[in-house]
Amino acid sequence: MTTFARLFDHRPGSSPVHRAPLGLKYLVVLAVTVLVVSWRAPLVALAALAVVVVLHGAAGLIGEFLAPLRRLWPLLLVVGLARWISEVWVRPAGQAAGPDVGAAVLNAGVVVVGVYAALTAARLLLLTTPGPDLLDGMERFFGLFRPLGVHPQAAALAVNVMVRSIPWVGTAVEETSEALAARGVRRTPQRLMLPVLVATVGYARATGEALAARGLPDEPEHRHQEDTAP
Amino acid sequence: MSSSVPAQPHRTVHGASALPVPTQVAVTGVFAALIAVAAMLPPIPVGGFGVPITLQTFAVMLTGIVLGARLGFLAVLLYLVAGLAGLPVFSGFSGGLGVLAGPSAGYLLAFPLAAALAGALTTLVLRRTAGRGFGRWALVFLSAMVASFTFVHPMGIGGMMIALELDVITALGADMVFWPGDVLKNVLATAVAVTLFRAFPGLAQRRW
Repeated sequence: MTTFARLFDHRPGSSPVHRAPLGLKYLVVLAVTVLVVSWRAPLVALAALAVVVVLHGAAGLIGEFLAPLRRLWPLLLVVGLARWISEVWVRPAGQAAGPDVGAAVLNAGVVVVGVYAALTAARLLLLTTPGPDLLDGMERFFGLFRPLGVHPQAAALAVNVMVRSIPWVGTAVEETSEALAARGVRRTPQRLMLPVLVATVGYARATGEALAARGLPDEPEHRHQEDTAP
Repeated sequence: MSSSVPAQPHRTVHGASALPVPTQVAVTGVFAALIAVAAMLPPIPVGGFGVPITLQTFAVMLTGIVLGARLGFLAVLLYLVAGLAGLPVFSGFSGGLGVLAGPSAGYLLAFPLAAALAGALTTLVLRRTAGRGFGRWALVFLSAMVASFTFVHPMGIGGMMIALELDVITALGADMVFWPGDVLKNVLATAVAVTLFRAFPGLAQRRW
């Protein structure tokens, strides 16, 4: 339960980073992500990392910059190794000269630094944005796709249902897990997921009935009439 | 209470599903939550070998099989959009646009398409093979495998080649590590789906 309850890891503050418009924050994260993927150069990766460090500092959250390393170091290690293997063992197969190990390590480092810069930039956005603002932003984003037949209120409602259901599903998993342990039965994916899924489908039905009882989501026809009213 | 809404006609979108709209919204949201929880769970040992598997792709495939192409696609897309928006719902509690620079970008983008294909093929199987026994579920398993190898693995490999600048052989090698677990997860998803279709026969009544 505790694991699944902390979905919005917001750290309140009044720094310029906290107060920046949400759209701008997304643009910065997107820019860092696109840059580190599309432009492989040591200086670019380091510059992206430096920008992210400075933004953490400006937000007063410099301590948070290295926090994800505790969780991410195995991933980064695998990423770096794969990149290194790709360069040293596979790529030079057709080349006359032997592999340049130094350059391979450097290139692997560029990829690892870039991945870390992008992930921490995205995390800073989550840390500096209140949960409700994030959900409002998503609803505005869904509005862009109205011409494609997307019903923004229904999509935003589905996001709300998702966010509220995560602790519920997480609790169902934990309770099933404890029940298996109490019976002394080994925990296998099937023994765990079958009861959880039966409960989840039932929960989804009950949620649907609760939404219908509140008249949610607004019918598109009604919304359309409101939109076009003078 | 229920008498206050007598015989309310089911509101449907494009008549694509027999479910009323509020139920469609709820099912989409709850299954997106299921995928999020599955992605956050630590790997679980499976079978006699005790090889730990993560349940994220299991939940994605199960969502496609159980909900069908349209709602399955929407539920997985919702999970993906929420994760890209920043909610830490991807494996390892990560989230945000930054994952697009990481090794799992191709896999994540493939998930909604894979769920849609698994759902569409399962709908075909359910429609054409009503009343048959074991062979029917073998075909559902096959639907999930086809979806895995049409979208998840090719896009996963492509994602690693772009995001990590790998050559195709290294990327293929990294991807093949997931193949045995993938087969197990699709067997598991099919087994769970069989029971769910029995417990909730309405789930099989869908246009796509």
